[in-house]
Amino acid sequence: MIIADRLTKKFSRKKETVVAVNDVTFHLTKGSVVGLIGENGAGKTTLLRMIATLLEPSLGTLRVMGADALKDSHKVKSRIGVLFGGETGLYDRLTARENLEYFARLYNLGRHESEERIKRIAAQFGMKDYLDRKVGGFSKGMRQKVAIARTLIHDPELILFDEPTTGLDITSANIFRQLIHQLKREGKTIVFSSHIMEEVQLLCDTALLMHKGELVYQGSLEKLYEEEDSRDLNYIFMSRLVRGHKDVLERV
Amino acid sequence: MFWSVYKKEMLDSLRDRKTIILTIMIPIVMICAMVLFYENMLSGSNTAEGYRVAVADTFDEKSFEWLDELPNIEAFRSDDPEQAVNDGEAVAGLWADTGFLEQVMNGGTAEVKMTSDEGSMKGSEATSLLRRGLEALQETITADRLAAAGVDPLTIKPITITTVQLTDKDSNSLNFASILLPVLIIMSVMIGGQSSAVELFAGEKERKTMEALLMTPVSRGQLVLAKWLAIATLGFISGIFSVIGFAVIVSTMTELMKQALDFGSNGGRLLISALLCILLFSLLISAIQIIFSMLANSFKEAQTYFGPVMFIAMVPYILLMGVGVNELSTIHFLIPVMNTYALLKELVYGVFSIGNLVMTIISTAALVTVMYVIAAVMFSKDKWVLGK
Repeated sequence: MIIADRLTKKFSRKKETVVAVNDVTFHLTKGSVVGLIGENGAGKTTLLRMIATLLEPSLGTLRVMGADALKDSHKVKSRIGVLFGGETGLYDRLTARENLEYFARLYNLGRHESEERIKRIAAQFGMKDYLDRKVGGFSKGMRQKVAIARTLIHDPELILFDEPTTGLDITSANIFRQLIHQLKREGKTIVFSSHIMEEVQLLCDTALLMHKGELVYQGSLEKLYEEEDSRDLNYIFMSRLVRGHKDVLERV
Repeated sequence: MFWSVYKKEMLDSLRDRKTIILTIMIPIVMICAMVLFYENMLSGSNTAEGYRVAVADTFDEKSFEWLDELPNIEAFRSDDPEQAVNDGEAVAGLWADTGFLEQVMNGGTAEVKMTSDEGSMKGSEATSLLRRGLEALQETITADRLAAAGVDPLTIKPITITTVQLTDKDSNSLNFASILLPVLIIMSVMIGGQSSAVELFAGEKERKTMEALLMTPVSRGQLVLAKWLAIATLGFISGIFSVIGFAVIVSTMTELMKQALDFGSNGGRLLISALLCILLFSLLISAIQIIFSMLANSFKEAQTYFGPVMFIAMVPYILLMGVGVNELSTIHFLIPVMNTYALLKELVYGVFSIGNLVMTIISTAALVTVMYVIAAVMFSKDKWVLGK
């Protein structure tokens, strides 16, 4: 589903160059739910943005669903759904329905197909009551639901979520978790970044651990538990980071 | 796809109360206020209640009566005419030798002094009226004295000067309209699209809706084109509203300006030229607004850039203010923005020149292309589209 080979992203600010993602190689299979774990500034969002074709890698190659993310970004974009955390990316003066219709149109869905999808998603997320109200007056939870609906409007095969439950209340966060389960049952591939280890433990089967732009672990969660002889992901995360950091220092 | 983005941008912008106020309300209110102010000023100078003139106590009764009978002059006595002007009790002050009228009527000479606040329009109009009255008196007395001496009055006035107006229309009204209308149209176009230009680039960048948009399979070229045309449309609508507003206000609320701006059968082509001019300027200014909006990382930052843009657009207007319609030359029609002012000025005077119109269209279209290419190239770079 996703094959990254020596993926690197550098940002130049004035005379300084920041390496946000450094020489990352991984392979994610179809239908997996991947937890992207790391501290703030570890490079999670930059990695997700490269997979979403929103940022061009500085070095390395990235293939998403068989297509080159750089050369064939149009093909990739039409098959992925992306939601960056904290930012719902909705237009306040449009209603929830108009927001969804607009994005459905941008993803080349026909009018009939778009109506059907909106109807189905609205029922699934319990959005019927406010579907024709302007988004500007929505609560954070309502906005997040519409944003997720927008992400799924074109039925993408690969879904990227960047800290999707940040700022959500317990009910909305639970609805989101149920959604992940459902998407997994439908065979979708999901990559989401999170700070909440319990969430990753509950929803993911695969983990990518990042630290200061480098990948310190990739593989199944079960294998990670076995290797560390613990099922406490918080503890594993901390110990891996410390070791990962040492490895980096030794290499330097 | 382009059409979907364009439609959405228009819908989103027109639902914004700020856009409606800036696009439609402000131009109409501005025009209404300025036209009515000027019409009042023009008609006011013809039917004024009278300018209060402070006259020194040295004026005898006969001289005072002569002065008070001058049209639009309302004289009153004062110990200190200069102080009366400084205190705002009078718009002009007048001194003369005691019994000056008697003196000059009886073959003598007299000195008259006048003063007014140089910054006051009423003051300068009052002194001008006084000067005309005194000159008329002087001419009469001179003629009488010459006649008494058996000399033909034309001996000292061999040349008769008559000013022939270029147009039979009220020149003050035409001059005012030529100053007011172009700047109102330009400002309306700029203000009309400004709010959306900020929203659709800096605003979307700040709210992160730009990211959601860029993650769709729509090409950046189509996105920037649709957004540009949406902003240009709003600027154009605003410009049209300013013309319609001006026409309605002039035809219903003014007399002098209505007569001056009656173009008769020439009206159609003048209107088409004006529309073309407004359309091209809308396209140009919206491309420039897009560039500045992309330079900003936030709504607020973008707004700070727009002030200087508006100021720069006013420079050609100021340069053309003192240039008469017959003095406009090729260079005025070859410099974008200046050519819009120049062409609109010409149109107000009822002058239609296909050559000037073509020069304006070609030079503006060339700059539109350059600005749009810059905007499109910037939009293709993450640095300008996604911000920090």
